[in-house]
Amino acid sequence: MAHAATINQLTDNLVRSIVSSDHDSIPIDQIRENAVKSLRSSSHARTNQFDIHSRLIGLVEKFAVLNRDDLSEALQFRLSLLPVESKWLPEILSLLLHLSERPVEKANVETLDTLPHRIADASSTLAWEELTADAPIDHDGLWDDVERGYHSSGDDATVDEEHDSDATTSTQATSIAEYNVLAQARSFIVPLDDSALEEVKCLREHMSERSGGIAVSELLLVRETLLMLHGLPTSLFVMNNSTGGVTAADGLQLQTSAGTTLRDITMQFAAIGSAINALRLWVRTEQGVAYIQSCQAATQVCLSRFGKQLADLEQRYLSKTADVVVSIVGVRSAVERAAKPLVRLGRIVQTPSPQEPHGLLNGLYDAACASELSGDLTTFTVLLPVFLAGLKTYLRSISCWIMSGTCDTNDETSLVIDRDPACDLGNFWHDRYAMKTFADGQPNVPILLQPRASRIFALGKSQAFLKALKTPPEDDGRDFSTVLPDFDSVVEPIKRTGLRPFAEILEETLSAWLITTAEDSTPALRRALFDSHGLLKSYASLTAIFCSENGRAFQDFAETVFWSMDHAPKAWRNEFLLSELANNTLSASSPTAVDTTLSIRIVEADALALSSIQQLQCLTLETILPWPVQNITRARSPTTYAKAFVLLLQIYRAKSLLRSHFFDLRPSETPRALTIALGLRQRLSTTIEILHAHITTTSSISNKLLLRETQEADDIDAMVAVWSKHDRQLETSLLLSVRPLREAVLTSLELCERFANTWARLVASPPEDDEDNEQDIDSAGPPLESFALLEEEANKQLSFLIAGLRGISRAGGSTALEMLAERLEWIAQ
Amino acid sequence: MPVADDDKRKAARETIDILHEISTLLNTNLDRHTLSYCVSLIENGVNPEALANVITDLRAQNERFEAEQAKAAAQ
Repeated sequence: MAHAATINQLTDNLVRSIVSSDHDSIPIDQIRENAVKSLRSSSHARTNQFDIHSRLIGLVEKFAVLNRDDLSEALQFRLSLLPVESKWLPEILSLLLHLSERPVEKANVETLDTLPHRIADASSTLAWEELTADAPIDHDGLWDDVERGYHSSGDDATVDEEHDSDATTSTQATSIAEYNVLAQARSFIVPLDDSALEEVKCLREHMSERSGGIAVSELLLVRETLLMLHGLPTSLFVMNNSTGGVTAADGLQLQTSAGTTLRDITMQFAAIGSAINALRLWVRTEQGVAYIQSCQAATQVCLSRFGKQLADLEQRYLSKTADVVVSIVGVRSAVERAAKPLVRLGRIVQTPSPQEPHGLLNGLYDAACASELSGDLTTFTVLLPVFLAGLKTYLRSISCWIMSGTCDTNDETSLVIDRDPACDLGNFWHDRYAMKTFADGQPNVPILLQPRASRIFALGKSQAFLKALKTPPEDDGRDFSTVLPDFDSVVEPIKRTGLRPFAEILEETLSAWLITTAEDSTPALRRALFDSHGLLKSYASLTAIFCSENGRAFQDFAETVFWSMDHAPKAWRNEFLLSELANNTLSASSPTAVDTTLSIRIVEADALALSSIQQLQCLTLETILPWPVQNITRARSPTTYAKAFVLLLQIYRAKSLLRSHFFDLRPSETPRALTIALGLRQRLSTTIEILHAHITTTSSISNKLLLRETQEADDIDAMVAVWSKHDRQLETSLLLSVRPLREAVLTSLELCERFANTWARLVASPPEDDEDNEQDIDSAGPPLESFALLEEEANKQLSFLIAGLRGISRAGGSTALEMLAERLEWIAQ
Repeated sequence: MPVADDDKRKAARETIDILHEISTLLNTNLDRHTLSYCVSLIENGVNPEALANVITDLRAQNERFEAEQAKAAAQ
């Protein structure tokens, strides 16, 4: 009973201590009764003390593992203080373990300080009494000096690995125990000083973020500037890789310079860098034109030289032997001097448009001349090698053209166009090659070669013509493209004296080069034309064939034709027979014409043409000139001579008709008619003879003049001009071009035929061909009137002819026509 | 012997102090008086596990009562 009462009492106290009894609504008694019942109803075995001990040890280890060393040490210490003789201690500890609620998270060792009865910790300082309790200090000599020997404390020193402090590089490393390799190795490790990189990291962040101002030193600015000028990426300058453009970074600050000054300098450097980079990009671009490639190579050399100058500038600041003042302004002065020619060169190479194939050469030439004349020898020294490199390459094609007559049709800078590789050989000189020109007619060559472009073109064309004549020029195996002017003679005088302008020296050099390279082509061409291809012989044969040089042969041809006309009026127009006749008579008669082949073409005669004189108009005598001669005469067969031939044939016909009844004198009905007739016949004969003499004499003289002037001509163009003049003069002199006079001559010749017909009627001879007289003009009327009419018409034509000749001779100054007019006036008087 | 009794009492007090600190380290939320009652009950043969259950129930009931009181006071 007392035990139960004790338990009741204790339980009541427990309940009241736990449950707040401030309010009456709380059934304390009920709660107590329930608690008592719970406590009494449970029966248990004794708590396993070893289990409790192991749980507590495990709890201590758990605290240590979970990094609660304070809890672990405090708990272990207090467990060690518990009295071991208490038999209820396991149960009490078991109760505490059951009531334990997450001590790792919630327990706090500092809470122990608030407890009224605090247990002293083990870390409390030691007292002498505690120290002397085990080993009392009572022996003598305790405080005497100790002899140091191998018992020195230095030998006993060991490294506490648990504290693991960082070792230094002091000499104490030798005192470390040799067996501890790890510790020994660790002692040699130099700890990193992160603070040394802090400044660099901070600066890099500032530069990358570009927030606010970037404070730079002058040396840094110089270094970055020189790197930028080398074309390298930098932090202070932004470079556009596609265009090479450079801009200075914003917000740069220099301690020794104002912001505007610094910005001005950096912008100037950026401009220079942009120009240099643009030039570098241009050098790397692919160019299809050869001379531009040469300019690129020379420019690359200039850029390399500029890079070396920048390197020399950098070397100043790297040198350790001499003191140097870091000055961005000084760097600017040096860079501007070195970069000025390249900046100028960059502007030149960017200017030309694709439509100007020689724009770069012209630009370089103008710039070189301007810089030399203005005394800017620095720029001139840079521009000159680039210009000469391009000019040399360009002149290769010119040299090849001049010396061999070949051109590269794919070269867009070439002076020459091969218009028609398959053109007729007779038009080779005029149609095969042409000189490129601009829209205004100026030759498409660089400016300095324009005065010589025509000469260059003619020289090359002569060579090409020679090749076509199968007469190759003397070739010693040289590569003609390497025969170039010596430009050393251009540079040296300028370097020596500098008094003569560069343009003048270059002009002289090019002129001398042209004279040297082209002096042999013209004589060879003349020899080929005159000797090998019979130009003069062809000219000489023209009078023999066309102009009755051999009167006998011409007469034979003419009489055969006339016989055919009279006896086979419908069949005489046979080209083959007439050609055969011409070859047998005209061609075979003269040594100059013996190798020529003649042919006669017949055009359809006018149906209304009644007279034989007019029928002869349908004939055209042709001789195919050799193709080299055709290049000069511009025609396969000389047309003027063909017209002269027909006119002579007509004159022969008229003469023949007048002569046919010359001895047929019949008494006329009226003597007057006979007088008129005889007089008219005489005048017509004389007129015809004068005309015949005029034609043959004029053509012969003109031909001789042609031969002489052709021999004096320098080149083919001169020969063409000579032939053209001769052809015009011949046409005028023979009255072939002046239509009214030609008509007057033909009318006069037709009058001869009419007279012959009338005379034939007069002598009462039957007409030789009835068909010819079907449309006789003066078929009506008595002979007297007919002859009177003929005389009147003859006088009229003669007067008209004389007046026309006088007029033409006065206008053209032709003495032959003047003489002809005078001789015809004798008849008219 | 009063000195022996004093030593015993002193030893008992020290033991309770140590147990109290252990109880604090284990976060049992037992004050010194409650702990002393628990020690007494255990010395009278009470099952420590049952006693722990009773204490847990009493705390739960106390929290319920306090919640009801707080709710009644708010109304």
